Amino acid sequence: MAPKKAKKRAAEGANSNVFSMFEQAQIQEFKEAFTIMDQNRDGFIDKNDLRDTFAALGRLNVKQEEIDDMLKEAPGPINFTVFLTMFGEKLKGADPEETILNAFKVFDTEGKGVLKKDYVTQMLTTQADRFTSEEMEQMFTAFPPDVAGNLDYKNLVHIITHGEEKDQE
Amino acid sequence: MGCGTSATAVTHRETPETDEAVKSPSPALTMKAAVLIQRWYRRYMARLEIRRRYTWNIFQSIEYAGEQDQLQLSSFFTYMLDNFTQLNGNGPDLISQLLDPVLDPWFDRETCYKTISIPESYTGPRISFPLSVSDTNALLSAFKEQQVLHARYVLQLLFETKKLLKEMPNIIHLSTSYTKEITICGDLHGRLDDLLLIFYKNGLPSAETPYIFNGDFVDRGKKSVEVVILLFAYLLLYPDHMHLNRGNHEDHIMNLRYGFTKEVMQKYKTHGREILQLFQDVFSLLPIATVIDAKILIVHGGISDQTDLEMLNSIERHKVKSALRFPRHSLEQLDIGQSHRLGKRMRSTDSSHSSRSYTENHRTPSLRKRRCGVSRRDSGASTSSSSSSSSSCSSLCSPRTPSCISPQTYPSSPSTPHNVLQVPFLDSLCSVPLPSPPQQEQEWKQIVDILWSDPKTQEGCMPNTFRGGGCYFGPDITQRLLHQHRLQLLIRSHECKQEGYELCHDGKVITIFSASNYYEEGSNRGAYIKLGKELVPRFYQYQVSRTTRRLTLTQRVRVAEGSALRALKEKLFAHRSELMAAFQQYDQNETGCVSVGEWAKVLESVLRLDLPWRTLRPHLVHLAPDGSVEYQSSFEDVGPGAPLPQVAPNLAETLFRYRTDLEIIFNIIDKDHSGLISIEEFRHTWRLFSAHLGVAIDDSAIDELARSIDFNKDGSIDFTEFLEAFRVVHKLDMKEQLSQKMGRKKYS
Repeated sequence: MAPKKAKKRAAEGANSNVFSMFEQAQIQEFKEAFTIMDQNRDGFIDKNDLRDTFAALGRLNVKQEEIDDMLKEAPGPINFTVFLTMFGEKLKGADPEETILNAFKVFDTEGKGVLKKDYVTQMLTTQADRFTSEEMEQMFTAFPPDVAGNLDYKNLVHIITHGEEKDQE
Repeated sequence: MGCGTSATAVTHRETPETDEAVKSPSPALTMKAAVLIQRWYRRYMARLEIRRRYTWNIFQSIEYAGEQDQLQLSSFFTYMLDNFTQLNGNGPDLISQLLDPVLDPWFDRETCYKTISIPESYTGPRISFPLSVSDTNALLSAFKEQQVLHARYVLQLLFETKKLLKEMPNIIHLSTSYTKEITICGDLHGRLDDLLLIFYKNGLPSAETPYIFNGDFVDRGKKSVEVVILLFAYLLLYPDHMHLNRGNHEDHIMNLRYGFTKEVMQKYKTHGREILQLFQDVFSLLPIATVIDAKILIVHGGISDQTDLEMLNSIERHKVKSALRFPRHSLEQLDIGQSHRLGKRMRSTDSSHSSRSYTENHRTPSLRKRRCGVSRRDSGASTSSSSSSSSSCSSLCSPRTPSCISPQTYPSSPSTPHNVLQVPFLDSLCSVPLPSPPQQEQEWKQIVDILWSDPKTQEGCMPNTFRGGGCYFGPDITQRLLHQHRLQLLIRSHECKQEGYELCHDGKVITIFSASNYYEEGSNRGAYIKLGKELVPRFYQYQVSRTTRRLTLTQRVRVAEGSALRALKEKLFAHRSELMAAFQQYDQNETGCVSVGEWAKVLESVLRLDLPWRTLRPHLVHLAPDGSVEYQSSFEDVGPGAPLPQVAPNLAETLFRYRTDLEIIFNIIDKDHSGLISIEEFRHTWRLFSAHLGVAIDDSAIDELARSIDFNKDGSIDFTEFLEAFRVVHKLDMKEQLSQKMGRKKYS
């Protein structure tokens, strides 16, 4: 019962077998997540909802192009069965605090514990899964750099990680 | 990509390239780090979004379930009225006055204000009629200073407003050719701050700044009186530039539950009842709709497939005092067709009937005071007449009549006489005289549809069982109506929206909502529309902020979520015995645990709020080490507000659940606002209430209760103290406050 690659599954199209891949409890959880994202309760989620749903379920290694491709391959609007078919396994949990801290430290070569705002912007908006400028702004609004333009990333990581913990318990 | 010359050695436990710890981070490494950060942050934002959305769901579900609850109160009043018109035997009391609209709406009682004199000691605003700008300015500054307008002025204002409104048609027609732009605002719900903010941003009403306020000025917020006084004052000042549409809360029965009645009674202890009477008249005289340039229709709720603007224009709108009271054509009490909890409908039989009687011997089994929160999806699947499925039950008092609902014959009970209408009344059937002629019924339905309907994405028109009144109307209904009347846009309110406004039906329907932070601080923005000659709407958003420091998105979500969860926990607590009974069915061995699935199922079947229970589970209940749910843990951190009087458990729960309703009832009975009611009145009321709810409580329990709360042993009950015991408090609140004082780790 190893989960297949999402793309391959999408190519096969939605089929009822997908429900046998998962345990009932898992399906129920997916269903809830799907329902939360399906804002107008019409049983379908659109592209934007899709991305958020992915992200919430931990499936973040899906690029926008991939999503677009999947949407093209989907037989129609994304209903729950299609959704389940396309996105197999669910990854639970978040990365440990240590991991993220280390990721930031890669850029903090001098080990100062802070990073320049502009540098962070550059780092996150110009490579990999690029942040949009809105996302960047959002982060800086929630975690404002000091007057000198330094972002205390340790604080940021700590708050998000522990905030999440607190909220998840 | 920054690469320093000296690098800190990093270990990535999760990623495979741990062995590649180099002095200066390679491009590959920086890319990996970036990806990690990006994904992690996005997941966090997505989780936040999920929390925000289910918080929203919780609030909405509870709100609509509450609306259904409240209609229960109305039916109780009807019941009371019909069984005991005079509780103290001294003549008609407030209840009859409140619920029995005086036949002649032009009855001149309002001139009583002339007899009221204003004491020297009064420091509030003084106004004179006809109003001038200095009067409205005086009102504005006075209300900002938390002052209260004297009852005499209120009555006079209402009297003048009533005179003015009488001259107005049901549908007001406006033109943009004389003005620059019209501003359209949605629900205010007693939020004075929002109104003041709108005036500040957009300008006070004037010839250059005309306004339309689209209903729901009162209820829920604490300053409904001030809001509505200001709106009426500007209406009097600028009758051509200020326009008010009626909303579903401009309804004296809704006001009983949602706070306006209480607010008036509290602020106006002596003249509150007269003021309320006048409000009742004024509300029913508010126009139903506004049309701009014969192109844009503005109503509070929405439309139905039967909405007929010509008919709407011609009816006598004041006759529909309340959407929750079916129009009468005689002095006799006609009950509303109460929708049976399980959705039974009765076909109205023909022929008339003179006397009325109540038959209460048709109690259907397993009926209790549960409300049925219907999910929108379910209501879409079922028709109005679907019976057995639990999803179809609607509120106990909905603005509906037997004949409004798609007819379906049901087996009539053997003892049903032929010439009466068998109307389901909660858990019994009552015989009532036939309702008014179809004409009146039709007119009433037209108005109710306008005030209560909501748009839906699916096509078609279905009864709005979620709210208990009006319809869900689809894009085809909108299209048809707009086409029929050569309109191009429908603007409505009635639903709270995250951003203060929302478009649907392919841009043909706009919802505009002007009460920011409606559910909770930070829950939503308010908005208003500006419309110029080209009739292209422009949206302006705002949010009233009470805190001096602006909260971040995370904090706002957390605050709103916390508030929603508390409300939800209170709901659980108030349904404790039902929930426990249901849990125990799954837990025959009394282990105290059930599976997550079973837990979710029980919650939904009892509470019927259509919420994502599994997602909410971590906030509501604890898990045992084996992953099963310790179902009793939900009830651990909520408790009664004060030491409970000696009360049987199920009685206690009923009290928790209906605390607000009881408060209203007591306030009404307590004519002299002493805070005390007599034991006899208490017993009477309580007996009625429990009979009405179907709670099996015998007289001795009531007597005992009455005795136990007669703290002074003088034959009167301080009901405030009594009710305090039945306010649910959250034990964690007290712990939190304590630990905060001791200084915990801070969150930004």
